[in-house]
Amino acid sequence: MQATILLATFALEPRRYKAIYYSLQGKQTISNLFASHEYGLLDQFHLYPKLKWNDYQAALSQLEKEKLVIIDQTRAEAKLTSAGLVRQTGLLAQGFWPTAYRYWQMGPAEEQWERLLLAVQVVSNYQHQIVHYQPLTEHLLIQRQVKAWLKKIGTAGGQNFVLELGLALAQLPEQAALIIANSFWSDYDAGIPGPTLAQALSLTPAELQLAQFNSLGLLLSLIRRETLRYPILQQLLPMPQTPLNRSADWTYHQVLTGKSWSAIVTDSRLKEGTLREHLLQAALLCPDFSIEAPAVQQLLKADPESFFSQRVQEIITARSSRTGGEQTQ
Amino acid sequence: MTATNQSTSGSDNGSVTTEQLENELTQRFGFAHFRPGQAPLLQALLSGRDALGILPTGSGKSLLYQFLSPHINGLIVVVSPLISLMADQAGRIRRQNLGKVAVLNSQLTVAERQLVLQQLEQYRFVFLAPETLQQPAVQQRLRQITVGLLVIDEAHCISSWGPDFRPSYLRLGIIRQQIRPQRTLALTATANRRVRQDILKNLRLAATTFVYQASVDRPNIYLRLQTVADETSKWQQTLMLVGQQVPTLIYVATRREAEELTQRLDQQQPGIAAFYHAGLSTSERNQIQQLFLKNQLRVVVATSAFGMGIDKSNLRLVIHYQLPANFESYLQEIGRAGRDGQPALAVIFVMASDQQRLSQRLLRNRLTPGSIQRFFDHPDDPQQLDTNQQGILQAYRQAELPAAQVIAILQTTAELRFQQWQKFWTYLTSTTCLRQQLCDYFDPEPAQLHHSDHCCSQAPTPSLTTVLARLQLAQIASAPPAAARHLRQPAAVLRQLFIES
Ligand SMILES: [Zn+2]
Repeated sequence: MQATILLATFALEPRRYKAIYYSLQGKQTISNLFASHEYGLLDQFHLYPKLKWNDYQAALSQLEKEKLVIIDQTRAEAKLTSAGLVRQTGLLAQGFWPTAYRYWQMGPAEEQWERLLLAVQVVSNYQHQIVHYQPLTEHLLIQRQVKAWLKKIGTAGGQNFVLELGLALAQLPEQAALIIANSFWSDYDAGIPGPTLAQALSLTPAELQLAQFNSLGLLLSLIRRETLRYPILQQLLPMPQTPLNRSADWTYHQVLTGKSWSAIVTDSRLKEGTLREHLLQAALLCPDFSIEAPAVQQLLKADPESFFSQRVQEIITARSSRTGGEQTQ
Repeated sequence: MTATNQSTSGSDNGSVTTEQLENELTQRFGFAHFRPGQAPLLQALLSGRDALGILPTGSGKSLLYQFLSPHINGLIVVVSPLISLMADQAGRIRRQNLGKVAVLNSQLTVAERQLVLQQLEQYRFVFLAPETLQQPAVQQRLRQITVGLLVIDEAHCISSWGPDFRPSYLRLGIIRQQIRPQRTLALTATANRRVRQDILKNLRLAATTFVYQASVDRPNIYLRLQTVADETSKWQQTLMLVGQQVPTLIYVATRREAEELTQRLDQQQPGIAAFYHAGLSTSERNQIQQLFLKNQLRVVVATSAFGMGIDKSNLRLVIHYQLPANFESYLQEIGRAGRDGQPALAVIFVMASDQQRLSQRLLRNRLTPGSIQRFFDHPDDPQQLDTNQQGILQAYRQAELPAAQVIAILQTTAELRFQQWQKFWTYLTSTTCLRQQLCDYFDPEPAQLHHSDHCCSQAPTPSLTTVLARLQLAQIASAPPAAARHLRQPAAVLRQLFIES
């Protein structure tokens, strides 16, 4: 991996580098989620699902060699040097770090990106009667999804897809629209190669990938915001209904219905600790987490000093201080 | 100057005549004639025999199983060691509409792999990495269905005498017996006598197996040894070569070098070059292939494994910017050039410092008896071994060989590698006919070639300029000027891709 990209995940205060690795890789444990939250990396969760520990370590020691980070092996922590901070600031100013892509709301970025590009290839080829070709992704599930999507929207749908794309690209910030459009290609029009596109934008190929995800994030926000205008893009790029897994979703749903904590515990037949973990996940991952729900209030009042209460308070405080500058949805 | 046919065993053709086969070739593929070896191999396979084809790169090995497809029942299983090549070959079959293709390799998710396995009967072709074939679930599934043809590509990897030995090939013989294909076709571009014996023995092929070995000689490729004093003159001469404006493939040693060289070429002439290596996604690689085929890219800079996946018949120029790993790789890599039969040029740059650098690399990669023993004692603790070394030892362990035997094998092969490298270096510093040397090294019964002005040369005389003037590559296939590679406005992109309603 490109070492300097890691600079975006560290700070002047020491951070546990293993937690950052697991976060980028998308390992879902509650302690990991907390670390990601603490480091402001929840949105970039699962950014590099195939990242290998060896490669990550190699990148980190390269940063150390270049005196951009200081690594404390015994505490398993790393922090930026002041030179590292300067580099980080410069890097972030380039605008490729995918702050607009929200993993928990939008799903795995690479899959969404491949769906979009494959749909463009398929529709463009179809319109030009190119029938036999190599789909641009080897991923069978994505191939099937796009095929099913095409069947559902029908032949006229292809034309509407193009119209929606045109509309969306016109609505996006100029840079994002340029990046998305110039990433498209088909067997009819082969476009421009990724490395050339990267160079035209003064980015490395690895940075371009992140810039593409960032632009995709903006596109997904747009089509989610304006449901009625983009029905076909929404079908192509389905976003998760909830960031929670099935059991956590069940628990949080019970809480939202107004049930008391003890009733939920009885109904679920799960350990109380597990249920509290579900709620912590909901607090972390659902931007509209309901702190007012009776069961939550019950837990907070029962023991304000408990791990649960402390964490929930932290999350809510952090969120309210952040919403001052940043838009939520 | 044509191929030597060496059928080592059995009676010759089956019941199908060459003429019948050629008629079908013309109808289905649009070619008038077979390349050397294709017809006899097809005849053997059609009559139900197993076969080993030793055919030079670019001689249309994949045509063999594509041709056979409608003639046999059951699945066609192709075992191939390189993920990138698999995707490329699968793509060719898809573009030619020869049937449903699956690629089973480590890039698929578990769910996707299960899906393919469940529906295996629905496919016509399945491409597999040898590692994937080791999985019990895969073997079990293949035993349940009819395998009409098992193709072992790059079969020389099975021989520890070959430079590309892959331990994952070791068990292919046993697996072959278990999945009972109706026929087996082993393919390789390079195999000396020793390697050929190893292929037959380790794949457990019968004595009646049909063997065809073609000469490695490719008369339309002009071979050029270009000794250079330093990096600067190497770069300047590369610029002169690229200035020929013909479709060009440049081989380099590492990803980083591929990127750097591309960038430098791009500064000279924006948009003419792209790099091609493992760091790119399948989508990006496919796109670069498309652009190259459409002549919208003139130069591709590739690492050796990935350059082999480039499928462009009118490549006029292949440049080894850095030395390949060995003689065999060199032969295979230059084989990408001139597959349309028209003149092409293969230039290899050699610097005096290469000898020491590469000898040291060989020594560094050598596994010591101590580290092998330690790995067998503590397989979970990889110590200082790199992933490649771990992979080799892991495969030996899975093949259930004892440590002492592995130490012996690896010592012998390490010595062999060194000898092979020395022979390659002799070639790289030689003053006699290069083509003759290639034939002497690789062909079982090398012919005496006639060296001419259109055969080969070493720097400094004749000069590279003279060679280029003689070959006139640009007149054969001058690539049209590459399209300007600047960003397009989104609306323009959509107009280009789609038909306006
Ligand atoms: Zn010669």
